[in-house]
Amino acid sequence: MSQEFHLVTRERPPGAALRRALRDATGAQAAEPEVDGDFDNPNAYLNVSGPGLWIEMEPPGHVEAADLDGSYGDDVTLPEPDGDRCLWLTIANVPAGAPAGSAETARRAFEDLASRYDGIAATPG
Amino acid sequence: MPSAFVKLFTRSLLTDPEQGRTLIRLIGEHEPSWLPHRYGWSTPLRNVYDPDRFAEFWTGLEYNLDWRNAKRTATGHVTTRVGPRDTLSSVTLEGERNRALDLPALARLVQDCGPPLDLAYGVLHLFHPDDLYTAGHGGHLFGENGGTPFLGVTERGLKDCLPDVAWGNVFGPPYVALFGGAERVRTAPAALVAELGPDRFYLQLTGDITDVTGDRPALTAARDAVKEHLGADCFAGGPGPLRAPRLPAAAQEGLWSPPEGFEVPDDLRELLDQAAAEGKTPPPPAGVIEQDRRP
Repeated sequence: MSQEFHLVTRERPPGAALRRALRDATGAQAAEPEVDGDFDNPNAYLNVSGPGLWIEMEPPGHVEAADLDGSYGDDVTLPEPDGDRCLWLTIANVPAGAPAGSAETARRAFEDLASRYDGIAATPG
Repeated sequence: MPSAFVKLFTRSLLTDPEQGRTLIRLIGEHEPSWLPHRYGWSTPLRNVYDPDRFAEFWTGLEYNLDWRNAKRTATGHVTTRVGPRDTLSSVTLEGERNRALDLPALARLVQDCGPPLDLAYGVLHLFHPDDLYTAGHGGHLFGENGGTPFLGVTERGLKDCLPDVAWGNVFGPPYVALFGGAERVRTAPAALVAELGPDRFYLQLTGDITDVTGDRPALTAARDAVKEHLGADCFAGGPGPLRAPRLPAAAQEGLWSPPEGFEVPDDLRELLDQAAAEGKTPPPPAGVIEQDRRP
């Protein structure tokens, strides 16, 4: 069964920060994950792979904050929307066949980015 | 909750931006409150619709294209027939009944879409519980998901039969032939039969779409009469064996290539061979099926 993780931030996290967060989340001994795809295209797919790692990501998309209402648990407080009443949503999908540890890497990377960019890392539903 | 539903089916791939422009122009002319505001292929929708960048909007069809209006009261969804067995692309529009919705204009929208989108079939209907096929309601048009109705008219289902006669219907050449020809459709006992072009008709059951919810006896009587006239065995629940047009699949028309690494089943291989024998050039493979992506 696939697992999905969301990162919601007021500012758009840069691609370099995502790469660093993924590298940190995989551990110091691991090879740097490969990130294939166009990070700047909100409609693209990023394929994140490495030894024991497979994550499919949707790059940050500028979505209306109201569209995220009710997407997460009651204990999750979304960041304050920007002037367009929008937030940046990044999605990590860990496919059902992904190596064990991929989900943990996605979760840790998003929590890292959430702390750096005043956002939240959450599981939808 | 949506209660006004339109679904349009065409053999066209719908990837031509001009068809997209026509569709959006017609929505703007007839039902401007349904115009796109945000679009994308996954929700929440990630893109703001900008008419000046229409091509970007329509190329979303590389996947599926979804949009919603500014007031969050209407949505649009386009599915192009990219699968090997797909016979029809579709456009689904649905919205809430509110003061901004011009119900009579929906009928004009559906009719005007007929020729430019080369419609094979189209439906316009309002939701009514009697048209649900769930929970023993006995209808054929709507399903329910968590209490929210959806129009359950699908490309796959049309391979077996039509679901029902909706309040407004477009019947294109495949269905006109199925019913026995243009004269048969022209003489259908409907409140309105409009000829949209050669072998393409718009049939409307009653004079007012609100009869769907407000005058069920009139709607049902008209529906039964039209079904009987066109052929009850063309509609779900009719006497078997049911009939439907046999439309060519995308693979048969040279519109699909197997991804590299894909084991092509025998039935698809036959369709591909048929396309090749007819000199059709399929598109390049869309991708590669990786047998095991685990590093």
